[in-house]
Amino acid sequence: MNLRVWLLPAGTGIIGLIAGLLINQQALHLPATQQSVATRDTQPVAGSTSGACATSTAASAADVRLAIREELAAFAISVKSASNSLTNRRDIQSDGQAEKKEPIAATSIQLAAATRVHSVVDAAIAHRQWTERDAEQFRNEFDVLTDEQRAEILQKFTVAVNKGQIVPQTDRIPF
Amino acid sequence: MKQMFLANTILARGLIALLMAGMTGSALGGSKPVFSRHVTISNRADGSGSATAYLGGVYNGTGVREEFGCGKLGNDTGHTFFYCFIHDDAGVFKACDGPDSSYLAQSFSAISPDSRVTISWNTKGRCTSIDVVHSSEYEDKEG
Repeated sequence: MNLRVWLLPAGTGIIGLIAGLLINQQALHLPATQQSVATRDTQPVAGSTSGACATSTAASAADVRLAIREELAAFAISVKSASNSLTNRRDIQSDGQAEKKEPIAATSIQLAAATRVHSVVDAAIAHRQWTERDAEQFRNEFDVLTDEQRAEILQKFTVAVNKGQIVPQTDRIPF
Repeated sequence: MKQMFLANTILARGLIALLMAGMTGSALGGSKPVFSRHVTISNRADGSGSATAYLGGVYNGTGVREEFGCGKLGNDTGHTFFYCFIHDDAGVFKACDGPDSSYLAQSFSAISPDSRVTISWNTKGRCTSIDVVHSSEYEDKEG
């Protein structure tokens, strides 16, 4: 869901709601003003009543304009911050995806270690044996490898074991 | 003839009483099912398969070469691989592995010396399931 799409209607709605409330509030205050004028004068004067009403209306319009200006300013700030937040989030997500997708390149040391550990497994397949010495060499080289290299060599070993191409001679679990 | 019939009757009654006593004792003592003390491996034609073992039972059993276990291979990069290894008394070896970040690693952590463990693997040697059960019915390692 795109947050920016929802921010404009939401902000407009809030401004409309506040303007409506302010107008409604002014409308509610208007009869009270008229009543108080009428009580003081004991005789209702049409001109004074309409004058009070005109002043009140002018004040409420100014209030509404001010409120709308304030709300628009606040809305502009919130849109800007939301936009920044979205941009940051996209950056973080794209970084995460980059981390997942891009495998870490093996160093020359890791490439050399991978060659050695593959040769250990290949020799074990050729001899159909897995000795203590093989296990030790495997374990020493395995620690140096990248995750991808480790997954690859483990798979090679397990598939060979499951096919009967390697028969462990060790007294322990073979690593 | 009459004496022989009497002797047979007494013998039959004695046997029935003995049988009933045995059944009562068994019921009062609680049943102790006997589980396999050997590693059981099932292979499929495509190279996948599964294996089950009661770890305590295998340890206490008569099998000389049998073993069933799992381990972790880790280094300081923060990534760990787990693997399981099965060897039955007929000399058949099976193995599977997986990255430690997978959900299977959680089951792996639940393995204890007296649990029943069932492991399945696919054609690529990848562990596809690790089921671990703990029960008072299973024997502990002895000795």
